[in-house]
Amino acid sequence: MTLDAFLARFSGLPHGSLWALVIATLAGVVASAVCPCTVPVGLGVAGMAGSAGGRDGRASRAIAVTFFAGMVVNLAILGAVAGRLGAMLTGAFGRDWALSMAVVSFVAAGTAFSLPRLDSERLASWRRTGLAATFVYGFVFSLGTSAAPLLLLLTVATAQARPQYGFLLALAFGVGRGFPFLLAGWFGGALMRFARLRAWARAVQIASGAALLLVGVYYARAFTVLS
Amino acid sequence: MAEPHATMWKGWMVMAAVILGVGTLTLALARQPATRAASQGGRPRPVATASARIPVTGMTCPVCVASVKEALLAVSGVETADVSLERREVVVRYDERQVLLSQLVAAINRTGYRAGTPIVPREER
Repeated sequence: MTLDAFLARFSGLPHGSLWALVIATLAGVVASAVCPCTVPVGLGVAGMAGSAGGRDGRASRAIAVTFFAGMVVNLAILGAVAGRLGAMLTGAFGRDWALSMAVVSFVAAGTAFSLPRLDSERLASWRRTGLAATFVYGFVFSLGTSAAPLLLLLTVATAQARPQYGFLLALAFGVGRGFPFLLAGWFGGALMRFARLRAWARAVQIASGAALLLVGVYYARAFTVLS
Repeated sequence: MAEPHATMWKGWMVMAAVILGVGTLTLALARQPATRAASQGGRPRPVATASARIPVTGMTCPVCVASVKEALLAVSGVETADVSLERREVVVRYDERQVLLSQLVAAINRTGYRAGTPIVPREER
């Protein structure tokens, strides 16, 4: 199923209702399901959460929530400036976005490989920076992958609506769009904590860094095709 | 004794990540002028060039755009493929002696996106 087909079922979306917000959230989940970027970046988020995780799992959950928050905040902003969404759908923007994603992913991979070398004091200070960087990662990712589906949703749902309603719909869409990544980070972190107990730390580290490296190569390749 | 080995090993992994990252981006950037030259005339221009506008549904991001563009350029006889995420369509210039419109539609559908009915400009019919 495509997002177009999903939204076509709700062309008579009741304006301003709670049901419309539920549909927008489901549309976000569908958009994530059909987007080819979801699997590689989801693996990357799981890897980041795993490599940053402490024994209690709070750090990995924080990574997952922060990436999710970056996406939701970005979509809420996009909803508020819906009239300018077209600027994010041009070929030049797509090319620059793919390059940015490649660079950010390679930096994240380098960080994932180097984290175990840090002592606990430096690791604690890194986590604060890491959270900010993860938020930016989620924000940038959402900027490129969510503008087109959001435009489609707003076209279907808010033909006669107020801008505030567009903001609410975009927020609901963002929650659905980011939900799979929240799950990926949450369970990725839990899985890697479980693996650590069995002294698989080195394999976990390779998997985390390799996932992010692959994400970087994936976007660098897209950049090459678009150039 | 295992600690220095582990540190050295992780150092190598970081270095490999950096080299792979920088290498891939350098290759991507190095390829850029050649690709642009090809789309502007570096590739020999087919004699019987036609163009068609094909609606495409299901694209969500620039990676989808890249997939559709790559699939069309891989078809022998296709000169350029300009994919628009905003208009959700692709404008293809191709040699009509080498390739049929149905082949272009099939190439798009193989990527997982759905091609609509091609629109050929009136003067080219």
